[in-house]
Amino acid sequence: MRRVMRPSGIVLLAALWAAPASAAVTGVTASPAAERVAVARTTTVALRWNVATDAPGTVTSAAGEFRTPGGTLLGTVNQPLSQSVTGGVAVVPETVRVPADVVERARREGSDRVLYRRSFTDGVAASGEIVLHIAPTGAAAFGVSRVALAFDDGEAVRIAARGEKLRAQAELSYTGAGRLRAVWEVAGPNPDAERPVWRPIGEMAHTLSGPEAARFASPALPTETAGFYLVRLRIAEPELPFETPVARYAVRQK
Amino acid sequence: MPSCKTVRKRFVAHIAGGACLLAAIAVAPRAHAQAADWKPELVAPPGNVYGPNDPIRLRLPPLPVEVLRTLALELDDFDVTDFVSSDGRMAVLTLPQPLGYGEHQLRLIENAPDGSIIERGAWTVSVRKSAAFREAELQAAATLNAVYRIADDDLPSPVPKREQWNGAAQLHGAVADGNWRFTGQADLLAAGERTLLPRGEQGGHIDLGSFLLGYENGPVVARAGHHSVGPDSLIMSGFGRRGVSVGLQSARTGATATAFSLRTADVIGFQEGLGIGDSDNRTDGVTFTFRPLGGATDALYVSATYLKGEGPSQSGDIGTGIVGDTTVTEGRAASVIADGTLLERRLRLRGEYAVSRFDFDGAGRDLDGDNAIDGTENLAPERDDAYHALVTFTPWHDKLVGGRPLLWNLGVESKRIGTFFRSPANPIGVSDRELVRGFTGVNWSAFDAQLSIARERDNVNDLPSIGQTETAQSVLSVTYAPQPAYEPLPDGSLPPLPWYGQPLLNLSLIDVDQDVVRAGSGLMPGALNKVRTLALTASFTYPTWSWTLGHTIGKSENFIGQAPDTRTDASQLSASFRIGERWTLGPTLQWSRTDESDVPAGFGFGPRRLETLTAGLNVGYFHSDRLSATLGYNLHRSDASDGSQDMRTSDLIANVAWTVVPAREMRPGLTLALDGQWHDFDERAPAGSSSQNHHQVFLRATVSWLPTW
Repeated sequence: MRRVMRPSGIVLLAALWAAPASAAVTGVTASPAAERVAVARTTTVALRWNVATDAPGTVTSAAGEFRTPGGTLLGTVNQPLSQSVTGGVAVVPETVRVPADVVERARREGSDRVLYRRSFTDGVAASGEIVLHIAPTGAAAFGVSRVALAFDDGEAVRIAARGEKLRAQAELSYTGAGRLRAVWEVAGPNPDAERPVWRPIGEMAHTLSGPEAARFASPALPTETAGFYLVRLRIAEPELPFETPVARYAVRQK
Repeated sequence: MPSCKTVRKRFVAHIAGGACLLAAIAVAPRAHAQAADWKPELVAPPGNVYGPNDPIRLRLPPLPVEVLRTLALELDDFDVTDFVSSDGRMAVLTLPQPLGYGEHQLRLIENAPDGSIIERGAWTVSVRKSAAFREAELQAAATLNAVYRIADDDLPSPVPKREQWNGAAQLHGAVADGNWRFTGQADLLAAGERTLLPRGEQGGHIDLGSFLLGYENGPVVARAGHHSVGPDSLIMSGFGRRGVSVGLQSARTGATATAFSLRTADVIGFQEGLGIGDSDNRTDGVTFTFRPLGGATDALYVSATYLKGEGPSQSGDIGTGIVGDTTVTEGRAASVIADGTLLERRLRLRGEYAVSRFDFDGAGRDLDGDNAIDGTENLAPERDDAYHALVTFTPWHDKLVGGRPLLWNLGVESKRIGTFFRSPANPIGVSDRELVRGFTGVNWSAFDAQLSIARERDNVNDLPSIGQTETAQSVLSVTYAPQPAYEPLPDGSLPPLPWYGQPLLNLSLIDVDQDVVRAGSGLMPGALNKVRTLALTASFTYPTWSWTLGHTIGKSENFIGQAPDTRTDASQLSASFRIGERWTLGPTLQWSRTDESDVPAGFGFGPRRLETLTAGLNVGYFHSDRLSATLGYNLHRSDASDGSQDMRTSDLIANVAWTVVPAREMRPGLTLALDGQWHDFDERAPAGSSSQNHHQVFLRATVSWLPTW
């Protein structure tokens, strides 16, 4: 028994020693390296973490932190990230919401920027950061910070008579200037509640700038068949830090 | 002697014309009443309550036919003589439409031969639902669908249950008597799968959509449910929420005072009651409006609003369709608006001033994770203010040029909104702006042109470390919409439309230039963004069909390597046809192409072209009121030249519906239907490919019910 066990024990010990040395995150960079966030407004920033590692596997990050250049903690993002490594690099996309109070906290600390930092690990950790310059709202990173979906009565739930003309309306709040690409989609009648089958009924491509808020009406929604329907504006660009909201309508038989 | 019709025209303001039916009253008295002293008698209705459809009966004494010919009956100052018939000695008024609940003035007049009017009788008729209530009504429009999937192929797992049900109901009711009136309306949704409803698993199988209860009693107006309060202002806009408001209004002066308490983050479903129970998620306030120069004139209108609120003002509860920053904030805001007209309403002046005190982190943010908010973890509130001034001038109201009215207006507005100005009741309110804008509009004949030129600066003057940008924006819109000739031809028919139908042509141009005018963190002076959009739309309408064609060209340039430059070309075509009495056809086509160039390093892609296509065709066939069929096809394609996206979706929806029993009054209706859906999805992307192809066919029984009590 001893002769059999000894080599196994040696292999196990060797493996334990070898593991940290063979899997280590060697560097983390953010792309872009710098962005701008609005003063006194919540800003959405889309970035990618490029995580270099010397072994295949998966890199993970438990949370992100907002800090001043002096190191003062301003806030945390408790959203775990993970990505598998391909060719020694893991590219981890993140769409982070920078709350207005985080920016305000940094400004009152006397800082003109916020650092957003994440630590990635696959055994040994390394961290990277993106510099978020505080800027006026119109010059901040282009991002959608709020979406409100409703029908003509201002509510996201509507009952329509069969054949009634019906449209939904999306109200977007945004910072900066940039291109919006989105598709109006409908599911129903009788959609699968868990996995609705969305069918596109109209698309939008607009360059947003200036007034920080925009309203868009949907194409005419189907009301020829009685039943339950879901409608949404799926925003393909820019990336959203939240799930696309859904409005609901029921078509009743006359 | 003039005819009775002529006489009546002389004295009655609203004459519908017609014969003197009072003269048809079958009385052939042997002993006529004395012409000077006779009086009619209003016959009490059964149960002493008039219903909306009840005839009104007057008992007349024996009168000579000559006198009967001169009588006219008025209801609420309208001549209703044509609706009077005879029943022995009774004059019976039977109106073609139900009378509204409430009090109505009835008057019988005699047009004397000397031209004078003799009032023979005047009564107040109270139309009531019952002796207890003047008005009491409950209406419902309900639908219940029982659905069974009879065929399917390749549905993704887990396959949903074959049998499903869902339904919806709209309820509306009103009760009133004396000076008070109570109204209520509510939408209800129901589904066998709770995840189909707004609150998902958090709610039940039946849930509440929006609802509103209203109570009025003289000057008192109270509401509970989903509603908005007060005029739009810098501190309250688009703030329709569940809550309660109570107001007083003066019919004489037009002044109102309303106190309100609304939930800050909207809510839906059978939860949170009236929406005011959570003081950490509530906005309370009061708003006043009055007209200092009198209630009947719009020469000057003044309103003032004060509010304070707490809660996640940028987001809503689950199912409300609102998503955004969930940070809990606190704030107070006040606003005063004066809006008046001068020079016979040709000059309008409007001014608003508002202040706010906003706490961006509410009670604070637990940074060190000790489950307590320490002193340094709670930001002090920021104070700021804002104003908006608007002047518009219309040089004339009745100018004619070439025999057609010429309308012209021009105006200027100035807006300054502080960097930290914010209100919990204006979730989309902008901040940090200094704007000056001039605009003018001309409308003559078929032409309409609107031009607006604005210059805007970031209002960060007190924050020197932050850069500042200036934006120049020009908007031009020109519309040509000639109206067809409505002069009938000699044979009485309307002239046919020209070959191009009734056209509507529009051109709009938007030009935006944004420059950095003051350096700051991450910003250097110079050009920042340039956006130009040109849109052309043409639509043509014919008696039974119409079509619309549009094309948009958009160019966007970013000069600091923040985003790619883009040029977008988008076209859309839609049409609607009615073919005969039974067929409808509605094709749509949308196509767009976007070229991205000067892509900044680090974006993960280079110059590329994105193309999308959305096409649809809807066909409807209406065999009769009871039997109809619809077919809808949608195709969507999205491709990128670098292969980063390649997606196509095809959907076919078909439906045949047979109304076995139509819903009538209290009787429910039944409709049987066959619904089919086919879905084909294919996506190829560098990260992987996926595809779906499935169809399903449902047999549906729909019970509809439209009762009124």
